[in-house]
Amino acid sequence: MARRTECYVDTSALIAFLDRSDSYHPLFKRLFSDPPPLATSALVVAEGHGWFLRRYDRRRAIQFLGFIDDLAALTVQPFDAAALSKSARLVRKFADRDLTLADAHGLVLIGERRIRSCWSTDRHLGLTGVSLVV
Amino acid sequence: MIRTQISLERNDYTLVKREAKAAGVSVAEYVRRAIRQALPACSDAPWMRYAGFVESGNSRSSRTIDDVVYGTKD
Repeated sequence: MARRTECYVDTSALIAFLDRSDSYHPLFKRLFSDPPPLATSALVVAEGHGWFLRRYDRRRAIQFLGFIDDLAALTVQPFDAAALSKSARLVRKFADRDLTLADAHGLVLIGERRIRSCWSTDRHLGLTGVSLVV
Repeated sequence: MIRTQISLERNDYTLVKREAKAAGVSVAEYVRRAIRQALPACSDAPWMRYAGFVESGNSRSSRTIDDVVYGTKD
């Protein structure tokens, strides 16, 4: 049986899965039902938590963290000083775009981990040529 | 991975080939994704209980995250 290759997950994929109103919800519900190994940035978790805090309330924001804990296939990569330095370099490289540090760290991880597929509805993650699932 | 063979109408094949090229993936990968999207989700994995646990009413919510988290520009 072929080994399933790692995919990168960004905030948009998590929100599309969790928000049943999102037009991509059926796609991500299907993908998360049987996920391959998944990787993401600690900044993505912070963005997702912030989204629930701003859009809803603390209770739902904490539920979001419970979801991250339960998602066994997901590895959260730390955002440390080295990651900041590499991400800032990308932000400067794509200075003509509204690239967040979370997006940039995602692009760094995709490059370093040789990830070929990205679960995202955000076109920024396609900047370096990785294939998006939508 | 199971290897299988399917027959497509010529017109469908032309469209699939064009869309796969536009998405930067092979025809096989494009078809796999279409099948994944069409199949119902069936899993009792613990994280699946969170699927659709909020209903924002915004069909573009996953594409407007930056506006919510970082705010909109004046």
